[in-house]
Amino acid sequence: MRYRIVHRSRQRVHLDLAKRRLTGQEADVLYYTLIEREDVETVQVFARAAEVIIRYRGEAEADLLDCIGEMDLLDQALIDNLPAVSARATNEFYKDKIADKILLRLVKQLLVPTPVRVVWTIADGLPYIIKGIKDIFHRNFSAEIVHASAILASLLTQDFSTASSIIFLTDVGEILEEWTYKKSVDDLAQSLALNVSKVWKVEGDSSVLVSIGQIKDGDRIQVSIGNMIPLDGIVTEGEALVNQAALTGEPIPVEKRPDSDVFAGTVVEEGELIIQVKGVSGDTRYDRIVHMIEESESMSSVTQSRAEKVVSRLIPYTFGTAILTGLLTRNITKAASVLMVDFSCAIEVAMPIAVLSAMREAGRHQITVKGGKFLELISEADTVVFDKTGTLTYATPVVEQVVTMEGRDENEMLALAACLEEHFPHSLANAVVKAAKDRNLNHKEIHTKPTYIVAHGIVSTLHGERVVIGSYHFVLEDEAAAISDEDRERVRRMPAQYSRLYMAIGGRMAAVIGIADPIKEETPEIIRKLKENGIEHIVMMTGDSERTAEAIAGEAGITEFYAEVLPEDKANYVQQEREKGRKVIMIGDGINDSPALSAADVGIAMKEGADIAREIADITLSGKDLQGLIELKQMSRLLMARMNSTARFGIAFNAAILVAGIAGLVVPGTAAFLHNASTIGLCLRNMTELLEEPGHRSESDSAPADGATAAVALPVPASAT
Amino acid sequence: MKKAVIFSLLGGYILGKAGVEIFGGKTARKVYTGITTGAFLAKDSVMDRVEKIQAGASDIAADARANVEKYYAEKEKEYTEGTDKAAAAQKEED
Repeated sequence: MRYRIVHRSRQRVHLDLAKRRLTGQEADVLYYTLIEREDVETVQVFARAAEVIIRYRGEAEADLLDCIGEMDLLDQALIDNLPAVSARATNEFYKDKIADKILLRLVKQLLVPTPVRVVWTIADGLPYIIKGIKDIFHRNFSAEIVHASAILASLLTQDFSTASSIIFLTDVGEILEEWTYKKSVDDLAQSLALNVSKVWKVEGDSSVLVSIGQIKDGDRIQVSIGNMIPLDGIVTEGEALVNQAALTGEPIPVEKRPDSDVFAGTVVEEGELIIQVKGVSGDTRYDRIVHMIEESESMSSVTQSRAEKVVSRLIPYTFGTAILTGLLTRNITKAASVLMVDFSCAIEVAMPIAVLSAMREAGRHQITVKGGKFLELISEADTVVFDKTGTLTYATPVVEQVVTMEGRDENEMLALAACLEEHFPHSLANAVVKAAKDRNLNHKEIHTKPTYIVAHGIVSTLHGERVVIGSYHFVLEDEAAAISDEDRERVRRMPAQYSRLYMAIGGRMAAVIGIADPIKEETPEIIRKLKENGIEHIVMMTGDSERTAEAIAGEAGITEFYAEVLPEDKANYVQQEREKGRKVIMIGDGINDSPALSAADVGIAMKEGADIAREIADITLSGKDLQGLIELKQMSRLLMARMNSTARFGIAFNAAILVAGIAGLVVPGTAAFLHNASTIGLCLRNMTELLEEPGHRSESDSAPADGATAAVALPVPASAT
Repeated sequence: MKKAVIFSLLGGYILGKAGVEIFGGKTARKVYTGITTGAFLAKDSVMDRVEKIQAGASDIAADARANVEKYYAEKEKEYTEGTDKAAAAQKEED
């Protein structure tokens, strides 16, 4: 594709493509192909002008230009790669709607003769009036009644310009709200949608890891505990408890056995399933997520609903005031002015926008917030319970030492351990698998199906012998593996801060793998900042040994910690704290954190953690940098402040207009204009960023939708891109 | 009086029928389509212009920001040069 460089500056290039304009699909292909590149920060595609502005990292200009030069926008492969819903298309649609409204209004005011204009206005106003009357009939005192009465009053007083201005501004406000809502739901659905790339395909007696694209209808796949079911299908073997919250919203897991239907996106809480795949596409799942999000009540926040209730009770009084004013002053105009003012407007329209924008902004910081009410709870939280492994420490710790017994070969033991561990999502498992890969230890699946016992370990058989791998408690106490005194001493001498994985074959200790679980660099600072931001009570709970826990807690600066904790204990502790009246945030990443995540006021999971933790959690963070946690706390505080200021300004300003109207200082037209314009102003303000610096990007994957926005013709600040 | 009323009623009826034909007929529809096409084209050209301006404005902002950074870099250089000179002068005195 040919292009011309219109403008270039440091890390930014503006190209004019050799086409008159781009179709929606072409613009999408351009955007999504570019944004996937590592070296690209943001992309703005101007479809109408066939121009594109790219911000890149480093010195990538030459590469980028090559990429664009070679790109074919009609390439089917690129088209197939497009996501289910194009953010650009959504923005285009709503931008068009607003542009249409503005242009029609201009035409109406400037070109059209008065009689036609009058009829036009009446026609526009009728739907509102009818809705208002219907609402009165149903005794539903909504804001629509106030709008309808304002319009009716204006029409009856033959003040057609006021009527049309009210209609115009109210329409624009509604479009803005719908737009923000749709953008938020799409963003959320996109981040909740399937991010599975590899699945375990059953071939003969064993399973092989293949990429999801290679699975066809009729293939059988294996899904183990803690993992997400990636495709729709029927169970052929196995039994499991499946959490279908992603689909139906019910938190209680459903039992699945052979011949049960299972659905993509649900998570295996306990057990294991072999599933025969039916229906490989992913589109229907997307619709399901959107549906679920829209149904869930957690989208709005508690403060918002409270405010809405208060304000809707004021509506009958507005009418009362209007009538009273009319009777006392004998002036219809003044009475009409009262009707122009509507306190609930700002709250009903601007508040949801604030909440939804905050959710989207969090998304730009790589934080997925599943509902407005969680942001609110974060701002009220005073207690944080941390899981250790994978949360305060890196999710991929490193195998430092393998101590073998009975003269067994180190590499053989490591390979066997990796073989068993790779089926289960756990950060220690990751370490073992990685170490095996690093040493180029390939293994065939020679063991039988491994079973995972939560917080304990893995059991399987090898050549007839029982193999177990797991914690000290599990292997040495539960399984009573035999170990010589000499070997016990060798193990004792392993460095204290290593987490240990004990492996026993046939009842005898075979090897102990020492894994260094270093604390994340930023952890101490994060803990300190949390305290600064209002968290009084920070606790660490881990299933790991007392020694490692003490070491890590000390480094992190956490004074209260509990070691060798079972999942139920975590949940119980959270429950107890809540009963004491505290608001608790639980942060974890593994299967063993799920009960606690559900029990907490707000459950936060690491994006790199187990699928089930991510599904159950209310918020997911990129674990690569815990800074997101601080940003979350700050954002939530600023959001609450913003909601308060919205309510206060909305009420104060409207009250002022009301008084001015009664005093005769403003005519209804001005009152209506001031009211509606201030509402829209609040909406626009609530759409701006809460935090000052733009979100830092730790990955360039699925960048948020804004990049494709040829920015709205309204003053949305550039930092929103 | 009666004649006037009858005539006006008749006239109105005929005008009405004719009007429906004139304003609703095929030729009229073609005219409306033409006007609407023109309107859409006009709207598109307005939106196109707006986008071009946005893209251009973005360029201007980028240039301005680059200038600001250059300004501060210059100031920084002058400052360090100044302090270096002062340090050198101090050394000579000692």
